[in-house]
Amino acid sequence: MSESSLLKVFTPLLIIGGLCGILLVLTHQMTAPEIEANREARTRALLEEMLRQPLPAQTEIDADIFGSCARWLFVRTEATGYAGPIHLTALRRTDGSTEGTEGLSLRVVGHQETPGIGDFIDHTRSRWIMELDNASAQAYAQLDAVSGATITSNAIKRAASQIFNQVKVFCDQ
Amino acid sequence: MTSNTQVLRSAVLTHNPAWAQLLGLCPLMAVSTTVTNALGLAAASSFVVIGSNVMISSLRHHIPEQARLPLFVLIIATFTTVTTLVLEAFSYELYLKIALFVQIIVTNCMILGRAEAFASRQPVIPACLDAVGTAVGFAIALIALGSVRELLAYGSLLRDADLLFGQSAAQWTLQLVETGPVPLAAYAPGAFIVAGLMFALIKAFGRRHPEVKTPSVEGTRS
Repeated sequence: MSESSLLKVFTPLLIIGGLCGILLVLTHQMTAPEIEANREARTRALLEEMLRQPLPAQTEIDADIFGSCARWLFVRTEATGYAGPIHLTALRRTDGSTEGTEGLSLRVVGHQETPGIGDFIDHTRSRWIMELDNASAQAYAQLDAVSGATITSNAIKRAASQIFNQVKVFCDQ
Repeated sequence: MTSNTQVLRSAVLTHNPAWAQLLGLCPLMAVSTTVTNALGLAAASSFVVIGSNVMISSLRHHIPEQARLPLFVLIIATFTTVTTLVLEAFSYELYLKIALFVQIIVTNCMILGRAEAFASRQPVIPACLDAVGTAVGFAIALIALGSVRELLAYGSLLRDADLLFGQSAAQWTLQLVETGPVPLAAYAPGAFIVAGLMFALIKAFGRRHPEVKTPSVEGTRS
């Protein structure tokens, strides 16, 4: 192909590509604040559902670990599952004043596990992980692997153990 | 009948992407579990097909023959991304339910088919009318399938309308029977059975009333 015919093909490609890019940038600028607000509201709703009470308004929910060592702490972590990283949000309650409210609750906020086999960890698909709410370190360690999804189950066990240690280190500092 | 009316009628009825050409069946089956989901995907697909047809038709004299397919896909992908961003910004709950199927609009051969077969060879107005007809035809198929499946699976119509139309629409749900008589209709096998029966009925109607010129299946490309 000669230089001039290459130019004839690539010039329109570049110009139309640029037009598409401008359209995308403009749309992104218009929608970014709304999308950010929607994501934050969803995260806040999930945290409040786990905590079963409203979060204080000034809580910095973007941090990897936040809350109070005397009552509750939220921790964000990830574990390696069968098909990729499993992103988790955990609530570690340390206030044992009410029975059954001291322990660890987990929610999976992102994963790539096999649909129908490994996605039982997703609380929107199965109650499996919700039944472990406020469970102790020992209960997580003794968890039986789900048949056919051993790697996924073990990832959750490892993540729980890691979070118990992480909270201990954080609160000891 | 004027040529513009013929273009519109052909796109909606005789060449309907769903029941005549059997195109775009993946999102049609996956998302038509309720009328609200169907409306959401119909609106998203309509925006993409109309936007991309108009843009391709406007630029048709500047699109080199050798690079037309990558450019069509680039333009369709741009409109799909714009639709996804707008849906995520203004209808977040619905976005969480149907986002996957909005994102794969880019691979919907109904849209690439209209770009290649019509928009890239015609002026803007006929290309726009063809896109409107294709969008209306796809929307009719989606909403019809969504209505039948929602009635059979849940016994209602317009459940979760608030996801698309805001909080005031939460009261729009029509609960016609207490529980759906055929829960299978909410799942993929139910979608194939209901869609197959609907397409067969439309075809039978077309045979009985040839003067109406309703659909003839012309080919199954996806």
